[in-house]
Amino acid sequence: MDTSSRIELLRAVPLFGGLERAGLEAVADAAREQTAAKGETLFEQGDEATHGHVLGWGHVRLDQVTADGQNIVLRHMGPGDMIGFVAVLRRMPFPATPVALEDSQTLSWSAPRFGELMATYPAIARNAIDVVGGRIEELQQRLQEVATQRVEQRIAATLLRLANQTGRRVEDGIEIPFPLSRQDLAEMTATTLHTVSRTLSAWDHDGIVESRRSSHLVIRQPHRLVQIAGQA
Amino acid sequence: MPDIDLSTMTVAQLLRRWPETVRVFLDYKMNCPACPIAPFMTIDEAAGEYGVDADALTRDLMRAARSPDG
Repeated sequence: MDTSSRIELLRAVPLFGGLERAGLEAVADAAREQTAAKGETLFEQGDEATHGHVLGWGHVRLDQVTADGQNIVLRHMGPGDMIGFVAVLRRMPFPATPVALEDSQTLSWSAPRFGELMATYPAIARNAIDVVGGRIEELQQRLQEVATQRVEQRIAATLLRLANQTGRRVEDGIEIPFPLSRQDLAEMTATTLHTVSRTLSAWDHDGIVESRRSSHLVIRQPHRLVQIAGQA
Repeated sequence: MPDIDLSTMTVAQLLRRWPETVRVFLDYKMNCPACPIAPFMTIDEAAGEYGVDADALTRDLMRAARSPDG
């Protein structure tokens, strides 16, 4: 990727919002490129956080293994999302592993280089607070759902959040544009694979979603799902 | 509001551009403001889901968007 295509990419990244051309150039020049083929990881949970990444293209799933060996899906990331910066800023090991769901590429910055960029361009630091604040809000929402809602509501709310963040309007509804397994959904909604399968099969049958035809789930009756989530 | 064809806008675009239309949706008992699928729905589609007269809704939305407070 040359500098100008990097700048094109960085322009759309919230972390670098409000930067002038010179700033974007400095950020672009300081970046390193990394690719991950489908199924590969960008780094591993527990690794030293040497670099913070911004996803250029592709999709990754952020997995965390708990102390007793259980896997949790923390979130899905698409183009423009920042990955690993909290660990970089707090000088702690990476708390989770990003797994590429399709061939993906990132731009990344070493911890010291990123520190310098933030010192030179304070907008980056302000943007980082914004992005991290948004993530906290999302986690609080999910925590509330796990604590108070029925499983069906949680699955609906999770699909709607994914649609809102990454969805693409297609002819017969809203498509989640990356492979999302039933196991992923089970981990994101703190329930069992069996419950997710049963729920999705019922929704498939009722024409609310289409989850069988391809690896990309399509929400065919989005408003119905909003009602199930208790948001309408 | 100039001559804008509301039928080609999504509900989210409308709300972002004319936040004063929030009131109209609420008056129609529609929860489109803050709805996660607002970026994907047209006003006609939203009206259909709530069983609301799309023409009347569009007219009221246009009026709110044109109002001097907006």
